[in-house]
Amino acid sequence: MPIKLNLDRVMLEHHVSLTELADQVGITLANLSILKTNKARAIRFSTLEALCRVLQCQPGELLEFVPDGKSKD
Amino acid sequence: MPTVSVLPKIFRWVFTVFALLAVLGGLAICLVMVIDPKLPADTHFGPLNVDLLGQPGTVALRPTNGDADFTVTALRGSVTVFVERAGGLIELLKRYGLPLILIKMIFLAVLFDLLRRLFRNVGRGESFTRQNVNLVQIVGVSLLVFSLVSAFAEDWFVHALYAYVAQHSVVTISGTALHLPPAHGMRLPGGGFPFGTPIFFSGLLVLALSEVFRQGLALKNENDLTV
Repeated sequence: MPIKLNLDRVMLEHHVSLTELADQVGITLANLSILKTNKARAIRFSTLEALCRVLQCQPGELLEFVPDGKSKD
Repeated sequence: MPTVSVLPKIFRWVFTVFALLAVLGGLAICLVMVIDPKLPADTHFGPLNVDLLGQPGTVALRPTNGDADFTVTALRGSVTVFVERAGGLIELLKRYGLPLILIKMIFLAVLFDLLRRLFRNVGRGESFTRQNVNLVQIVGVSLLVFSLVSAFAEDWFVHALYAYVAQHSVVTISGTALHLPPAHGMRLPGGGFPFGTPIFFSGLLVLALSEVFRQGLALKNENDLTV
């Protein structure tokens, strides 16, 4: 999937654990894990909004377009 | 988990019962084929009053020379069908009819079991799964195969029955005796062209439905991975 969700990096910067983030965003740990491991096929705006609010970031900080699978990391 | 109605559970139990009945029916047929009962030489009954084509008629079996003759009258005696050596007719019905019924029992058992499993999954809220797609496809293919097999089997049975009846019976209409012509090249009802039967079209419809299920599965998988 060319669109990557850099949840790991942003969570580390904000010192938030997976469980805390799942509780505050309002999604299950399983779904958050799907997002974190980039297995998701799509993300709802409501979920993206909740992530940005909790992590106090912009969508551009979370989402990255990698056409040939090469990450900036 | 989506909410489910009680209907899938009802259907599941209905198809379970039907499947069991079909299995029992098949076993009973096998038992009869193994036991192979013969018509006793002195068997007789009738004349029994019956309703044929909405008119009073009679059915009688009379012993004759170690066998029995079968007589049916209909339309107030205007039409009489006399079949000599009814024991041979019984043997023919056993030899051709019982395997035909057994094939149908086997098919019904398989069909009802597939439907039972399908509704069991639907009752659990698991409608669009790979297993259900496969089940629906198998039901569709089974219907198509059965329509072909039963058409040929019924044709085989009807021709055998007609050949025997034509050789051993006399039809009397208003006092005039008629002998049935031989079956060579005759198109008899009850068999033949399988591609126009309701079961064949049902099979095609179910196969189309399996494609709907397959697309539903793709949509479900897409939805499952949408967070």
